[in-house]
Amino acid sequence: MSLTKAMNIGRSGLLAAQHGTSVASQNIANAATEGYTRRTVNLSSVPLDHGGGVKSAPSTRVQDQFLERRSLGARANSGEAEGRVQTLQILDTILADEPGDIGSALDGFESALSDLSAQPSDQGARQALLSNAQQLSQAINSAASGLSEARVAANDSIVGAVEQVNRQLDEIGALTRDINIARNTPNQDTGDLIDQRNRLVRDVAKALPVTTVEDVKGNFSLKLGGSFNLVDVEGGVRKLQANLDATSGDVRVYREISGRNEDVTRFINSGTIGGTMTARDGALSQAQTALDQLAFDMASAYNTQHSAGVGLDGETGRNLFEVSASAQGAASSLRLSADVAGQPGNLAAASSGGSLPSDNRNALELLNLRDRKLTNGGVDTAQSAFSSIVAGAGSSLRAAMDRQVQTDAAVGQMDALRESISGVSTDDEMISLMRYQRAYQASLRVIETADQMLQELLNMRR
Amino acid sequence: VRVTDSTMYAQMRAGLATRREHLERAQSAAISGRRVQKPSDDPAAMAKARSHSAQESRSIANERTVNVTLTALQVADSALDQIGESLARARELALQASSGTISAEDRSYLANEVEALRSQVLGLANTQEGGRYVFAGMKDGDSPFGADGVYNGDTEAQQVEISKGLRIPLGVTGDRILGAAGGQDVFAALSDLTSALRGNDVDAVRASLDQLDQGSRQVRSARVDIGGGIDATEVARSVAERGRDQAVAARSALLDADPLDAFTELSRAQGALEAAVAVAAQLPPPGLASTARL
Repeated sequence: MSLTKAMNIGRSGLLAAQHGTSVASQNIANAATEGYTRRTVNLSSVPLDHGGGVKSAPSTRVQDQFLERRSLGARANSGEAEGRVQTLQILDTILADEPGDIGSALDGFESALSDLSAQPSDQGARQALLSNAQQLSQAINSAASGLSEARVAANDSIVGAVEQVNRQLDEIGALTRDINIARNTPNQDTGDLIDQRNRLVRDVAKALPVTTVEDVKGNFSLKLGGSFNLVDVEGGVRKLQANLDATSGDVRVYREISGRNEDVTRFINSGTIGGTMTARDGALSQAQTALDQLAFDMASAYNTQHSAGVGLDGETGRNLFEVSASAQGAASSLRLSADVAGQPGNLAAASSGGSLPSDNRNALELLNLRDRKLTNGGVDTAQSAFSSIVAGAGSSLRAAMDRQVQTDAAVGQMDALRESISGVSTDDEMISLMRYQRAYQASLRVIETADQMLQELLNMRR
Repeated sequence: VRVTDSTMYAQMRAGLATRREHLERAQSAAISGRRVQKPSDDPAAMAKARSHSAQESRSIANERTVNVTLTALQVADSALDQIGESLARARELALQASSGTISAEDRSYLANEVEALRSQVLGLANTQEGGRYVFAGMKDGDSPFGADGVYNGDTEAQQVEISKGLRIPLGVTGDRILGAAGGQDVFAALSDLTSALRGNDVDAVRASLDQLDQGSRQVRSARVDIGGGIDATEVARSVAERGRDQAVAARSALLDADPLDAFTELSRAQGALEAAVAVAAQLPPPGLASTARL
């Protein structure tokens, strides 16, 4: 009975149009869903001698694997820049050219020395030098504590980021297992699970340099730095650990392998975690070391000269500053020496006890130290050493900020490309809707026509 | 390229964010008047500006030193001026007394005046400024000359650094002006003159004329030294002032925003944001969703 065949074909057309409408509706509904990949309808014709009509296979996701993979790298780069900027941001505040900063405190200290050398017997000048020396110590202390707080914050943010990555890895593992089951079940749509997994992978890629390996059958694994699995094809998860390294006092990243912890920090050269570590071990650490060196060398030079001089009481051998025994930690330990604190008369402006109180020969020697290349191996004066700390830190932050703009733009471009392939265009979907509506109407007409023809056939028999 | 709804919205969002950021930066520069506010704004300029700040601070410190120095030198100079006059008066009296027409009684009156002059010179030699005895060298905490005219001060004058690497003595020590170290002990000369007048010893009075001349020469030479110091200090003052002006100007050129540029930039940023907002307000663009008849 080929008229019933026509009715059946019409029926399959109705079903196909319904399916098409629901796919278009799904796409429109998810037009604003983050990470949604648009679906296409897969229709194929059924040969007439097999009953004819149209059949629809499950809808498929429209995406470019290559682009997905490249976008992971772009995200890791942008994360790296972001991590650097966040870690180094503090440098702008610490080294800003403002009253109370190291630069102006250094100016104040040198001016007070100049005043003391002009008026060595003046109590006011002596008092002023003491308070300026103290302000200088405090300015250096507070910069040092700002830097070490920034270091702690960097370590904390690495720990937090690793925890988040572990949670995301867990989810990716669970999704992979679900997808593996769904793949082996007929007529199961894995698209939404894959979308979810991809979104998570993109988030992980922002924190760490990861790559995905996916074969044609859909076997998926996630690797760190292209070297070892974080999530394997079975959906097994290898978590990372952020632990404090006892020697450096900084957080490093490990993975557990056959019962022991392997340091995998070297694989993490990008992503927010990588960027944070780069900035922490680079510019931040350099600023700390340089400030320590400056504090130590400056204190030592002034102490040597000061202790050679004589106070108003004729006593010698007193220090001006108190500082740690080595450069390490000098910036935070710098203090006004107890030898002179609160005792302006103990400031050793004189070089001998014979010509007090206006013997200013040692004060002039102390004043000379402002032009002495006393730090960084005889290369820098205190002022120029501080200037180069400002320049170094400023350029590192500037470079990170510029890099962030670049890498964000690259991610934006990558997203736009991805969006142009996988994103939902409501115009496209409206056109599909119109098409399926017409197809539905036409299929209805087919059934109607076949029905009429059947009716006419029955009438003829009567 | 296939343009989707999300692309359009994302672009609009990014565009508005960037323009807002530009506007914020332009506003901040226009309000603060600073082009470079943080090291990361322009690291090289910031580092260079630091050295100009140091220069400015040094110049100001030098100006203070110059002022202290000038005061001390001027006080010393005017004291020496008066000492010089006292010595000239003493010489006049000695000259008067050395003529044969004067009586022994008159000479003893003159002796009283010379004695008064001596204590005047002694007072001037112990001149203080800001708690310092200006002719005491570095031991300026105590009066350098005792009533007996013996110098107890320091033989070395305090040096002051009035500009970078330039040090001058803060005055001249009393021993070289009025003491034996200068050639003639002036107080001894005045005492000798007094006793000569009291003893009516005309030869001794005549002999003291030379001593007083030598004393005056010592005072004049000290004034020349001090005058040289004052001149050098005046020069140092203008060097310091110029140095400060230069430093301030150089720093400003590095860090400050040119007001015209800042304003132009501000209105440009404002215009750009307004344009972006106007475009965004047109969203969503006409699409089939709103027009298609199904």
